[in-house]
Amino acid sequence: MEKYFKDFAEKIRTREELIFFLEEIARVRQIIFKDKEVSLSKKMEGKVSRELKKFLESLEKEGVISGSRERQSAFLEKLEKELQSLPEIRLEIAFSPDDDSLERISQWLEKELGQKIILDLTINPKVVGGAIIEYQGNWREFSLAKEIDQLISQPPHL
Amino acid sequence: MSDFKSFLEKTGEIGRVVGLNHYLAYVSGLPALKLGEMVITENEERGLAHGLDKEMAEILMFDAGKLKVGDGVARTNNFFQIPVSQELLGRIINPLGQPIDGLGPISGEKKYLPIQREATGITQRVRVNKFLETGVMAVDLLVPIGYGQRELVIGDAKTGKTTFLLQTLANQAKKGVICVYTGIGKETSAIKAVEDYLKEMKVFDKTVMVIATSENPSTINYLSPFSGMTIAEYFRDKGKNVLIIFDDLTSHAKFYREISLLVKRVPGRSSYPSDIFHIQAALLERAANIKTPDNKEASITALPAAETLENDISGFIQTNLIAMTDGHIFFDINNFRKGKLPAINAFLSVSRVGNQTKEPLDQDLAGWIRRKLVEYQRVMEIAQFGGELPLATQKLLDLGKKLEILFNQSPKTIIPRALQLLLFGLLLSGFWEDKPQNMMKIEIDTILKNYKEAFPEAEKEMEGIKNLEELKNFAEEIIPKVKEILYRPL
Repeated sequence: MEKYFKDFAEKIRTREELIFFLEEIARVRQIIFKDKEVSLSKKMEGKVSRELKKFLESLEKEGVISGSRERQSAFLEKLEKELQSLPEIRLEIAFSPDDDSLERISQWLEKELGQKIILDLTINPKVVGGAIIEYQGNWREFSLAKEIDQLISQPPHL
Repeated sequence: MSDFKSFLEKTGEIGRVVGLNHYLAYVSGLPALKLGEMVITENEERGLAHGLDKEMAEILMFDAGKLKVGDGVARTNNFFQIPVSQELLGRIINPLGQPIDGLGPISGEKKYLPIQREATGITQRVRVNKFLETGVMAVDLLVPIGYGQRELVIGDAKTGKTTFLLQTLANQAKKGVICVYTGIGKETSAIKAVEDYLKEMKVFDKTVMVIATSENPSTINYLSPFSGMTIAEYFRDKGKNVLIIFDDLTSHAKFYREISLLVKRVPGRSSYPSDIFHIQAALLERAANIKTPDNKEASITALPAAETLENDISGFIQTNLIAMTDGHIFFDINNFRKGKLPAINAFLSVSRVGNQTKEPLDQDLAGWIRRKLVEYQRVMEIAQFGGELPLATQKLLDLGKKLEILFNQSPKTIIPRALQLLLFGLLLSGFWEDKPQNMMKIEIDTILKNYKEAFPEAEKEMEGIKNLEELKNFAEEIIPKVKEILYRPL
C-alpha cells in the first residue's frame, strides 16, 4: 500500500497542488457510495482531474481498491492522511518559477533532505535573488538582498 | 531593520500562528522555544510562551485582536523583560514598562530585567527588625508592620483598604522609602483618584505606578504584579527600602483563572488552576529584608490587598493569601457601617513578625489597649440589656468609646508614632476622663493640627520613655502645654 501512496505523492510538488488533490479526493469520497452497480472509474468521469482518475483506475485494475465501496473509501481516507502529513518547506523567492524550474527545485530539495517535500512558495521581488527558507521552524536567509545590504553597510576599503 | 527581523536572524527560528483564541495564539515551529520566553510577531507585538506542546506553543499576546493566522513569530531568546531605571519615579507605566501618563518616553539609561525571578535565598535574608510606620494609629499600635514584611490587607470592597494603603504609602514616601503602587484590573477613574491623592500628598515623585486597568487584556493584568515586583527589586538592589502595594491580588487570581481556562488547564477549586498558589506565593516570596553586598540591609515590604464578600475570609484565594503572608489587617464591613474609620477589626487582624520590631513601650501600650478593648466588648454585650450599671462598668464603657474615637482617623491624616504615644499618654493620664465625647473629638483635631508647632521635640522626648507609667507622667507634664493649644483665643 505504501508504494501506491508514494507513487501518487511524487506527482505533487507545491502546496497549491496538494490542496487541489485533497479537494479532488474529498470529491471522490463523496461519489463512491452513489451508484452500487457502476464502477469507480465510470463514476469519476468528468468529475476529477486526469491524473487522479488515471491513478485510481490503475489501482482498480490491479485489484487494490476493487470490490467493496468501504474498502475504496478507507483507501482514500488513508491517502488523504498520508498527503496531509507530508512535510512542507516554505521558500520566499524573487520570481515565479516555470514548471521546469519547479521540478528542479523540488527534486534538488528532495535529494538534499532525503524525503518527499511539499513546496510552499511565496513570490517576493524584494528578495532580489536566492531564497529565504523556512523549514520545521528553522529560518535561514540566503537572499541577494541581504548580501547587497551587507555590502552597502560595510565601510568602504580605502 | 525591524526588531522581528533582527531576532529572526539572531535565533534562526520562526513560528507561524495556526490558531487564535482572544489573546491566546497557538504557534507552530520555534523548535527551541522555552517556557516564559518572550516572542515577537511580524507586527512587532510581544507575547509570552505560556505552554509548550509537542506540535505547538501557547503564546499569551499582549495586544488582542491584531494577530492573524499565518503571521510569523520569532523567538527573542530572552525571558520576559521590562526596562527599569531611576527615571521611573513619578511616572505611570503599564506592566510592559511603557509610559501611559502622556508625559512622553522615559529618558535615561535603562536596565532590562526579567519579570519572573527567583526569590532571594535564605542566606541573604535577615530578620524583620525595623518598624514600618503606616501613620494609621490602629495599625501601628495593634498590628505593627516591619520593613520586609508581607502583610495582607483584606476586606470587602469600599471598606477603606486602598485608602489605608495610600496613607501608608504617603507616610513612607515622605520618609524616603521608594514606593511602587501596582494596580490590577482597576477602573481608570480609581487610578486617577490614586494619582490625585499621591500628588496632593506630594509623594508622587517618589512613587512608581504600574497600572493595568480593567480595559486591558487579562494577560496584561496578570503581568502587573510581576512587573511591579521587578521594579521594586531594582530599587532594593540599589540599597533602598521599597514598599510595594498590590491592589489587588484577588483580581489577579481571577485574571489568571481566565487565562488558564482559555488555555484549557484543568480547573480546580472555584475553577482556579492548580498552580495559583505557587504563582502568587512565588511573587510574594520576593519581598523580604535582605543583606546587601556591602553588609547593609535593604527591604521590600509587600502590602497585597484582597477583596472579600460580606466579611468572608474563608474563600479559596483569601485563605491562600493569608497563608503566604506574615499576617493580615482585616477591614470589617460591620465596623465600616458603624462609621468606624479605618474599619479595621483589631481582633481578627494579626501581624506575625511586626511585634518583634516594636519598642517595649509600644508593646506594653498595645497590650493595655487590647485588654481594654476586650473588656469593653464584653461589657457592651451586658450594657445592651439596659439596667443600671456599676460605676466601674460605666467608666469602662466610656474608655472604650474614647478608644474608638482615638482610633478614628480621616483618610488624609497621618499620625506619626510620637503623636500616637502622646495622645494615648493623655488618655492614660485621664485628660479626657470627664469630658464629653464630642469635645474629645474636637480637641484631638486641634492637637493634630497644631502638634508640630507645640511639640517640635516630641519625637526625641518619646525616645526616653520606657514604660506606660513614664508615658503617663510625661503626658501629665505636658498637659498645660496641650491646654494652651486647645484654649488659646482665636
